[in-house]
Amino acid sequence: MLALAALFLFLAQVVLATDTNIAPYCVIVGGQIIPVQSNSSLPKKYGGETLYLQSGVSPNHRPPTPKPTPKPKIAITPVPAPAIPAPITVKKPAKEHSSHKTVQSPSSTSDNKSNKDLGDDYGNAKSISDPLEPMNRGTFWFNHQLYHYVFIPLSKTYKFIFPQLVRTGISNFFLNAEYPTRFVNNLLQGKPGRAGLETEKFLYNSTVGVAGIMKPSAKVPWLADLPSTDTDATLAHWKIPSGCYIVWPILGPKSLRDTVGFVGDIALDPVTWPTYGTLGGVAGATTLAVSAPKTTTKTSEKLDTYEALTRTSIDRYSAVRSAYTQNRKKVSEQ
Amino acid sequence: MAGSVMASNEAAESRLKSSVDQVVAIAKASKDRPSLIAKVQPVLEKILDFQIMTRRAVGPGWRQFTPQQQKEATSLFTTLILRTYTAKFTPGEYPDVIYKSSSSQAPGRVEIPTTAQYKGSRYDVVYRMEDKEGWLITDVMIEGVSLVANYRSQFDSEFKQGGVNAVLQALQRSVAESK
Repeated sequence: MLALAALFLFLAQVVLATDTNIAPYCVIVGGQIIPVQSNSSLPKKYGGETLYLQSGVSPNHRPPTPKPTPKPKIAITPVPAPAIPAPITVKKPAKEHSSHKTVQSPSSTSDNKSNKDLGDDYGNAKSISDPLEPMNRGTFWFNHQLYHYVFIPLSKTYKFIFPQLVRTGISNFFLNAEYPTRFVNNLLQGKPGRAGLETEKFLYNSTVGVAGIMKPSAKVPWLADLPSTDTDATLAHWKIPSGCYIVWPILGPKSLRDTVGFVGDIALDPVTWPTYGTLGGVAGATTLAVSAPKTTTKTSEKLDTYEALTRTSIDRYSAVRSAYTQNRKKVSEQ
Repeated sequence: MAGSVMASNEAAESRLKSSVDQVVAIAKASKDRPSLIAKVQPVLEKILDFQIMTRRAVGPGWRQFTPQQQKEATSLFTTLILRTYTAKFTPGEYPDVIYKSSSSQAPGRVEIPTTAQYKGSRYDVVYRMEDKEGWLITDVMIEGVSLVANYRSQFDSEFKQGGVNAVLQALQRSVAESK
């Protein structure tokens, strides 16, 4: 049973988290996805056959179509009618400014700046361009069935066999072992100070924390809140745009850039190192043996997040896409 | 000016802390999940501003709702938020919350970053609070993911497809399914 679970979960890296510098535009030309900064940066030759397929969910990343009306000035609008009528806002009416003036459709949402002035900015988060939405939704549906009917039951079995304490230990161990990913990426982002702290944390947890199974660094003020980082964050730091949103089978959501980052993270993960040099054979088996519990633990954690996020959602797909985008933004900005 | 900002930060912080302490005390004392949720609910109802959260989550389309529809949407969304919030509550388990220094982006608004250690994991949680005849939570960001913005993205796609009715139906469906 466990072997089966490990095998399944080895295949799974449900990555729900990750992005910043979101959304340049993506165009599809001859079956290829090409991220571009804006309409104007498109090579001329693509001009005629370019498909702009915006998700439409967020208006913030539409190509800057020239609008005759500039950003409206708030003061001029004579319609500050209370957005909420009396029965609902009995407790707190007046103070809140009315939010938007034209409300024909969500696409008339004013941009982040003017919303800020109106005190209604919390709803607006940057969204990622999603030209592949129809296909992505299909893959998302497939993944959901897989998580729901296969991975989540397996994950429950795993949790039943290993109590929380053991799972935390396994999780700590692998998180500690991923030190090279954080060290290298901090250096690549020009943060030698953080790379040094990561080293201190790694040495401390590896010794006092018994090979990283325990996490004594959580009690050290300057090590406890060291923000995590990865290859995608480095690419974001280098101002490489995220590219469009892709839902991979089994793996789940990633931006185009994060897909590249993911490969970088795998390469920097010591767990995969035995495979280098000698492909297959004993080394390959070692990697598989070591990475199975890692993937099982990580997947189980990520499935928890997925379940929590989608259980009370209105539209699962949009919920996951938004969470992914917001979380990646945080990781790469910290 | 600086003094008043400090004072409002402190007021918001102490309000948040007392609510979190109440929730922790309830979680410590509760024996089973249903009673835990039943006891926690009133505490959350006092500190969360459901009207504002619903309105912002729906976004600009809110103006097209009739008062009756707004009322219904708020009530359904309240149920969903409470479920989202209490989904992870387990009797006897409670988060270890560390408060960091809060900041104020505008008068009457305070953001309080915290770290919550819960069931072996560490989460960055930012509480956004606003002064509406007392400090209330108007948004919660867990690991960078804002609750309000997350729902806004979902409501946007529903609204685009079928307007007010689509939003209400989606809410009803979600409330029925997430029981």
